[in-house]
Amino acid sequence: MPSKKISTEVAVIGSGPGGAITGLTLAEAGFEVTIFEEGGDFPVNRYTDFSISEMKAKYRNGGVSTTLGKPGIAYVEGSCVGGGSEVNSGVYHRAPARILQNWTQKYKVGDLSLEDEYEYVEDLLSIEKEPAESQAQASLALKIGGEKLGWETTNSRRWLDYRMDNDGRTQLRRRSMSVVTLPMAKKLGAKLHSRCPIIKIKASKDSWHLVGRSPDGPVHVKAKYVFICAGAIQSPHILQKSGLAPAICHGIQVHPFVKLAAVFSEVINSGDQGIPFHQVKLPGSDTSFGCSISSKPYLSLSLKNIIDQDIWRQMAAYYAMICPETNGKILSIPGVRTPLVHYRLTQRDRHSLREGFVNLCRLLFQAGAVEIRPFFSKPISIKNERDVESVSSKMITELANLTSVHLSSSLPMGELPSCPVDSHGKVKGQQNLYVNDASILCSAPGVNPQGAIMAVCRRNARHFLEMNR
Amino acid sequence: MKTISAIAYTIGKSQLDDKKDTGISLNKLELVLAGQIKGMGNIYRIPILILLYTFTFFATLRYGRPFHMLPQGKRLNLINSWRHAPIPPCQDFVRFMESLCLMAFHSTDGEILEYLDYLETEARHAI
Repeated sequence: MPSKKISTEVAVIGSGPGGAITGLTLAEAGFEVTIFEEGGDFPVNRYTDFSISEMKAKYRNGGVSTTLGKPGIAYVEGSCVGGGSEVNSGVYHRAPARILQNWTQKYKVGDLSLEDEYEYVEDLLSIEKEPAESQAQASLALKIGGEKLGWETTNSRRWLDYRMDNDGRTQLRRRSMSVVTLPMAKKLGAKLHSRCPIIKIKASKDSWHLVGRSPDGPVHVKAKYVFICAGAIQSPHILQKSGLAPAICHGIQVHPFVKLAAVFSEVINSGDQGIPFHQVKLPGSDTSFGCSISSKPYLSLSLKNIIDQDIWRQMAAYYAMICPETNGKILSIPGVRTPLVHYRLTQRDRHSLREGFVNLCRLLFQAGAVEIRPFFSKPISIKNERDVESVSSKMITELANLTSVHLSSSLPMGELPSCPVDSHGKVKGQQNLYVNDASILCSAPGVNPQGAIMAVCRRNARHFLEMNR
Repeated sequence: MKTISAIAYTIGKSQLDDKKDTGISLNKLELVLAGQIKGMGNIYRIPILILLYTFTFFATLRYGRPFHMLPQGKRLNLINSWRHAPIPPCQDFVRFMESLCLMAFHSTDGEILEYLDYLETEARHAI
């Protein structure tokens, strides 16, 4: 099969929130930009949201990925044009100020003022300052429980909205990268190659040589500047395969979720409510609570049971999310295309998960739940607050089906010698090579990270422009 | 493929006996299971395939015939014995298969058609 040769000024590997904002910023400045995306290019509403078909088409490994270590944590990554922005919850947060302060102090990240970048991103994605209150009953249950307990309850900002179609069904509309950012970049001349994974990169005399493959055969790219924006697992993996990072990369962080279904005495689940937007913060900790996808297929999958037609509309899925102290590892095995992720929770993390689980149950009983069915590998039914106390950390570790969606911090930025990239994402010891995605966040931000990723990546791309004009 | 198909039919039939509200036909379920396994990265697919062959071999060892040639009752016995086996990968294998079946059972016809349409599109890209 003949190989395809591409020459470009800037190659961006990945088209998710990091890659899309990088590509757009550089294209705006007049750079010749080519974006390479491993996954397919699908119209945003081609597949039903949060369905088995969307999992298959838009998630890496069809949505089946898990960490090694005990307990394993199932995680998902977007793998399509637009990356994670095409499949995530659409909840928008700025990274908390204390987290940014920690990055500055602990990792010596210079000049981390993100106010202008946040405003740019919020304007770009049309994020309302005061979003309309979610009216989904499952979401309101969180608000009711949180207010009864006196815990901080928020109605999250988001970059998607729900509208009624002509048949009275709720339609979700995402303002994702494939809808907003990438079309703008393309209008400015950026080129996008989907189904074109870049396998490795090599430095040549005054440029970089990228080796990839497309459905038509091998692809060879010559680029002066390279931005790796392939996500917290794939970005270090590309560096590992290129011999630019050690085979074991320490540092990845996730937000582990412990989940359960709460059963109420009345109907609370409309079936097409998507992700409700109320979130509750556990006082004095980094743990937060929210409502998860509660469609019938997801409830059945999580409870490992066929659910009766009548009962599932009285149920909704909720999560407790912790900010762990652990860092995981990414292992690159020669000859194996998929990297392995190893993650082991510490005793404190296990305790935090248990506390999160117990307090989520309390909150939901306060909101009027009559039964809790944890997403455990064995069916368990909790009927009142007293029974919750019998759930131990050991049970959570051994029985809970832990999940995560927020992966970050595998290549933390900063001026510390242990940071593989500098304060603006430039790979240390290399010329014209940058990482600009969730990998470079110094730690998991404790909230949905997409806002922070886009703001940090915009900041870094602007810094690149200042240095290379 | 025959074992995947037989597992899909067995889990499907055992669930459908009691509950009538599932939309997916069993031959579509088999395609979903096979499609899901095929689309996984090697690091996940290879262990699943090893377990699949072990499962088939185990059936032959225990009943003298491959899994797909066994009657429904014996197939269910085998699946249950793996579900409660003291070896975690055996339990994980049954949970994985059941999870996929359950998700597919409760998906709408439209979602399953989207899924099969995606498989066809991918097959065309592969050509």
